[in-house]
Amino acid sequence: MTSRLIAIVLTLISLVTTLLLNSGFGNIPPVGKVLDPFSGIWEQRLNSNPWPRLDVLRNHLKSKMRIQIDDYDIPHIYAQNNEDLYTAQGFVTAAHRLWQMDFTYRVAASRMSEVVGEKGLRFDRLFANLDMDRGAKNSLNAFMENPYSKMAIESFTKGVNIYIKSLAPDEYPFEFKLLDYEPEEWSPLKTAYILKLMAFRLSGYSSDIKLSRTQQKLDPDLFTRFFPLYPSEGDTIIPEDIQFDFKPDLPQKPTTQFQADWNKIKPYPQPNPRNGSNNFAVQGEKSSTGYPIVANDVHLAYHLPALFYGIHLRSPNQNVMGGTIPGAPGIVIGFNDRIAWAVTNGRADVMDFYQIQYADEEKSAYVYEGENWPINVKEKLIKVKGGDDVLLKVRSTHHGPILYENSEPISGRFASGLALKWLAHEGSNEILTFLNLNRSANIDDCRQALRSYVCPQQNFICGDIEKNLGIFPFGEIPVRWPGMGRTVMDGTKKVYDWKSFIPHEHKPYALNHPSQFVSSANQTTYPEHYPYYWNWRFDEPFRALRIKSVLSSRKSHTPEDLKRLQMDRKMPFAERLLPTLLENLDGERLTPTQKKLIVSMESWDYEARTQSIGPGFFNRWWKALESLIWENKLGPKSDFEYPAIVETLSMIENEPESPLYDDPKTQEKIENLKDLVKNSFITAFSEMTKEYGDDFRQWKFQVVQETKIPHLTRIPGLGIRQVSMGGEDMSVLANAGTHGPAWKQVVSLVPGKVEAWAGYPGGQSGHPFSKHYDSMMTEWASGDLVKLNFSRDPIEDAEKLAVDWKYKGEK
Amino acid sequence: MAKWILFVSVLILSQWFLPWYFLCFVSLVFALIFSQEKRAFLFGLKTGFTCALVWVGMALLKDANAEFLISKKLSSVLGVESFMVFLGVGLLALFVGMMASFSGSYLKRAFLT
Repeated sequence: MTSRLIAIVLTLISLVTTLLLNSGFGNIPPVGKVLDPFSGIWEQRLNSNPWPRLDVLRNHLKSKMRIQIDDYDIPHIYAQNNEDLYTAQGFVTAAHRLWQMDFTYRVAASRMSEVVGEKGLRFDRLFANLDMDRGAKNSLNAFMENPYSKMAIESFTKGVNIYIKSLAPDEYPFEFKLLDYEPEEWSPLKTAYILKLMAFRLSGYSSDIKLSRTQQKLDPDLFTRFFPLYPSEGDTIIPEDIQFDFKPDLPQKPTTQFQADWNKIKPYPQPNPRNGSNNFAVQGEKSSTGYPIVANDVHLAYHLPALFYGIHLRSPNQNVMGGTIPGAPGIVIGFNDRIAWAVTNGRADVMDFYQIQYADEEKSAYVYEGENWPINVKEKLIKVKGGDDVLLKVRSTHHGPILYENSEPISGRFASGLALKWLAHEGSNEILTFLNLNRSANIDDCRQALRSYVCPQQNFICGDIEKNLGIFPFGEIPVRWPGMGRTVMDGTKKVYDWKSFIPHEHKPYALNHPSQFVSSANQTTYPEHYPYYWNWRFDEPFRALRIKSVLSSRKSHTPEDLKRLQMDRKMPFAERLLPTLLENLDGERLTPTQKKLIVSMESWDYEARTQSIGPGFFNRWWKALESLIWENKLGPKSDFEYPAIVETLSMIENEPESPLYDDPKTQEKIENLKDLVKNSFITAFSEMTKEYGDDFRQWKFQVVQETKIPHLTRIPGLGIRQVSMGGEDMSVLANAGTHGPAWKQVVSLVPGKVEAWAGYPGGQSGHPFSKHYDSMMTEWASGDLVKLNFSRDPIEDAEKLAVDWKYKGEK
Repeated sequence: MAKWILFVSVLILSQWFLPWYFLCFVSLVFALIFSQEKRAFLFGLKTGFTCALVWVGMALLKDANAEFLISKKLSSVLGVESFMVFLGVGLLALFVGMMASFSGSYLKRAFLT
């Protein structure tokens, strides 16, 4: 009897242990399954080298094809027709980046918690409430309306699915195994979600609520002065001398000012407001080659697998290369043998908040123009791994989804809400724009391609081998009265609704400008005399001014010069402000160490070098000073919009005795600039001492701003820590530690000899165990960009090739 | 010796084509057939140790094919030295194989003899 009991107990223990090791709990992966060396994470042959799998493509191609994989693992696809071309693009992208594509789609589609558990809920709720579903579905319809984009996206999807179907479970990428889930079939809708996520990153930041609070708190004269509708100084993308000979049809501004009251809400997680880019290009007259040279670096969050993916696509009617977003067909930033294009994020306001008034307690209707309009309620189920499912109710108005609720009535009898109007919810076919750019032969084609572009607004530089060069801010932009939509608007009145978009022919541009170069760095788009209003706030002009200063300082530039400019670490803001700060700093009562620090700051060359002490301390000093000036008048920067740096800077330079320096809490004393400069110096010094130690010589910039590339899921060990790279948020090399140039490219357009260089943080492969997971890091960090193997014909040099796969068309 | 060669062969084959937990099944069946009443513990230990050898050997082989990138990355993910990763794999196989073998031996003793 005892031995039977022991046998049963032992068998049960064995069974339960096995079950546990095969299941996992919450965030703990199924250890047995994961560590199994036969089919768990140790099985990485295909992920390290997916190219033997190319053979499965044979059964799905219409005609012959050649795929070459170069020494950086960049695929070069030579196809006989575009369907085969995009099928192969889908296949190779999935081979490198399948998990990244799946995960990015999940983030946008509120399906992240399904694989990572509760820690994904914050984002799933956000994107569900943002109604990304609506934007993605509308865009999918738009993709499918055009035969070319339909063909491209369906072929791409087919290629991805061929790869997925070829996978045995033991061949799934590492993250699928670790998070214990399987890849699903790809679909065009998933591509649409990925593009909507990019639209969110680039146009999803809104200061409307914060500015409404600021407006409520600040004296109207001060508000007008420090928050002007057009920046009081700076630089514009479209040069000042461009004239506009049309008269816009602007909507009438309401006579009464609407003031929303949303002091209590916590804003949803917003994308980094600094998501932006640099692009600049010189015309033939200013180029060492006699033809345009076009440069671009896109500033987004760093992560591994890398945000961009390099690829070369060749068919009878296109030969294009560059970077694309994994999950989308074609190329987003790149060049072909006749043109090159480069993009930066525009700052046109395409996201507005409307305060709506519910018409009943059940929130089934809202008031609009004195009538009750029904609220559309959509249920969204969020599955949570290891937890209970969450059922969200997404309420929508004709403006868009209601993002915030206020249970206390603000005005009227019932509760109110904030509804979001966002251009990205509309159906738009951005893929078609890029597919057409890919096949453009000259600048006219390029401009034509832009006509289908909607959101997010971008500043496109386009150059061609016929020596044309232009910059075209493009995207749909609502027609607004000056200032419309910069604060929360009244959602009960029609007068605040968007009525039309700026006609294409009224959008500003500069073509073959006499300055012989074009550039943009997210600064103010248009000169003050442009008759439309796009936004009140753009990026600070310092990067843009530095780029223009370098480009105009020389008669001629080489591709190397433009690569060097991308790595420029000069901090023009510091160069302008620091002398004023030092001049106003009374050193009388400072400690000997503080005096030594001042000496060190005086000799700083304003370069954001990894070994410099200047950049880290200057930034902290400015932050403390800005806070001393504005916090006691407004409140913390997280809740209120502070003026643009240039507006505060102008006051610092010109009004040392302004009453705005006074801290109302210190009634016995009226502070002036000198007081604030000293107090902020001491605050910054004490904060830095606390964080980085007593010895200021150790406050090197690489310590204060550590450059690191985390994994998409932040799994430690799969990212890269401590990359040696200088640069700073407002320098041309806009490296902010975990955010910065996520794709860099320089293209020299010479007829018959187009040359290009590129680099990005990471590598081609998305598989952590591939040597190409991070194989471009060194080149990217040093600025010594990789020369791309670009020509009309396949690569002949065997040394540059890792794989040369041919399909002769036989079935 | 022949029975252990048979065990290793069946174990490798099962692991190659079937899910990992067939390691338990194979160990259990092996014990049902070959274990002796008086040496159940030693037999279980030997079975577990053999399972560990097979798993660690295969992990090493795959790691070597990937230029030891797998153990390097895993060790940084887990925050341990590389050898600890192999040790973990070995201990897991040893424990699971040994427990299954004990179960087999005791089931045999209780129900088949």
